Amino acid sequence: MVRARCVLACVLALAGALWPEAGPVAAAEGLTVAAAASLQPVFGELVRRFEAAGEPRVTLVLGASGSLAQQMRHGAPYDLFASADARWVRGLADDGLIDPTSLHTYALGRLALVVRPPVPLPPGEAPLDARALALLKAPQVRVVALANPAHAPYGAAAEQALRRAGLWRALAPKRVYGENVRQALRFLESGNAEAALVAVSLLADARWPWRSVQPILHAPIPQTLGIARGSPRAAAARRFTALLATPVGQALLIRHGYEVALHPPRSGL
Amino acid sequence: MIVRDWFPVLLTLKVSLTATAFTVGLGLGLAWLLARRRFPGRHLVDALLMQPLVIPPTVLGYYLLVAFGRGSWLGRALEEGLGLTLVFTWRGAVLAAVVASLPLFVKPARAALESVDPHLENAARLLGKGEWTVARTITLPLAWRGLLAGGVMAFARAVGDFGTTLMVAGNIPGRTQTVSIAIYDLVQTGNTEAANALVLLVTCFSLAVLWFVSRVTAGRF
Repeated sequence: MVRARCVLACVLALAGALWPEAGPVAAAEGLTVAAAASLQPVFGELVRRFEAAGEPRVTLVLGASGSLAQQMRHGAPYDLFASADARWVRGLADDGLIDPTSLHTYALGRLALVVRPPVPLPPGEAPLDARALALLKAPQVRVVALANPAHAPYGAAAEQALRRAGLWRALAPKRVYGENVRQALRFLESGNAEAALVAVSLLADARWPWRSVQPILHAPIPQTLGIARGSPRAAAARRFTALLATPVGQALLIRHGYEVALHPPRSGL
Repeated sequence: MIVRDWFPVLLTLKVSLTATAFTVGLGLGLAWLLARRRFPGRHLVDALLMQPLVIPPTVLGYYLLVAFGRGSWLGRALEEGLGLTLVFTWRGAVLAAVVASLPLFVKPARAALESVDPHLENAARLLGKGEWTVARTITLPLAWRGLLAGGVMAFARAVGDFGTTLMVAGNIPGRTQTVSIAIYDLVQTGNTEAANALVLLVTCFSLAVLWFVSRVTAGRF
């Protein structure tokens, strides 16, 4: 009994000692940005620059756009939501959770096919067309990874491309879904998939051979963001999104394979 | 240092210690009720309490999200009335851990209370002691092994919760990212080394807990 009391006292002392450090006080004043998993390379760099400029700290929450939108519906405290397509942000704006005047499409995403050698890509540099995608039927491709089309925009684009190439049904036994596009790529990196349909933006430093997929094979993937309605940090969120329009932001987007409008309309349009 | 961010470890300790305090407080009452009182619906209460052991964690998380989220009257009442936001905060992780770990405390606690000889308690009552004194001087000292084992198991379960916590508290780095969720995140982003370090930490911890519980229940402390 004495020993039990001793243990209890130790546990309580430990709890007391840890309380202040573990408190979420420091993070509470910062900006919380929910971004599609495919935006990680671009937004990670933007966050570094934003913080280096003396701005508030940024917490980056990554996930499938659909999952992040659903979390916001349930009350997740995100100040800014950068989706990989327009659908999920518009839905939140319609439901009054995102300020509709803050909606902004700043780039188009591109889909890519990554393979693990010895799976061959066709020679040349041209984006893959419907016929080239048929390489996925080869027997050495045992698993094709893509993000879950139900809530991940690049998964939906991958499904459209495979359907348009007439491969969706044929590949049914090989298809494996990641929760988001980053996880789909992870399946390939860890050797559990021989091919993956993911975002070009994740492949700037990829160790695996990859090629973009012709954009006519899927609907456009408009990278759209919006600021949470009533967010007390809306001004900081606006300053953060403004980085995307700067030369640095544009160069980052282009380097990671996004298509940006070189002369964006000033306002109104 | 392989693990660059120790926040998940501190947060996990904070969440699971808080959760264990609630679990033990709430669970002791429930265990006592189930062990000592015969009331209608006793078996239903018991079955409901044991649900988290068998129900998928995602289902449990979904229930909590719907019950305490922005869309529910309960969630709104707590937020507007008490300024208490549960979902997507560390308190949500505590809620998830309490619900998930409650059966692991109640089960052994109830068994421990039932194993106390009622004659001893009655003897104390005959000598004019009140219920509170009986509980404090007879029942609890005789049942403490089971209670401690249950408490430690509940703590370990709270530390290890994943699915329910992810649904209720989300995965916000520096705010709701507990160790189990950090491991999931690190594996997903391919940071195998840091993931391995945390996996090793969690494995050693759960081994130590089970060793401790096994010794306590065998009467070795």
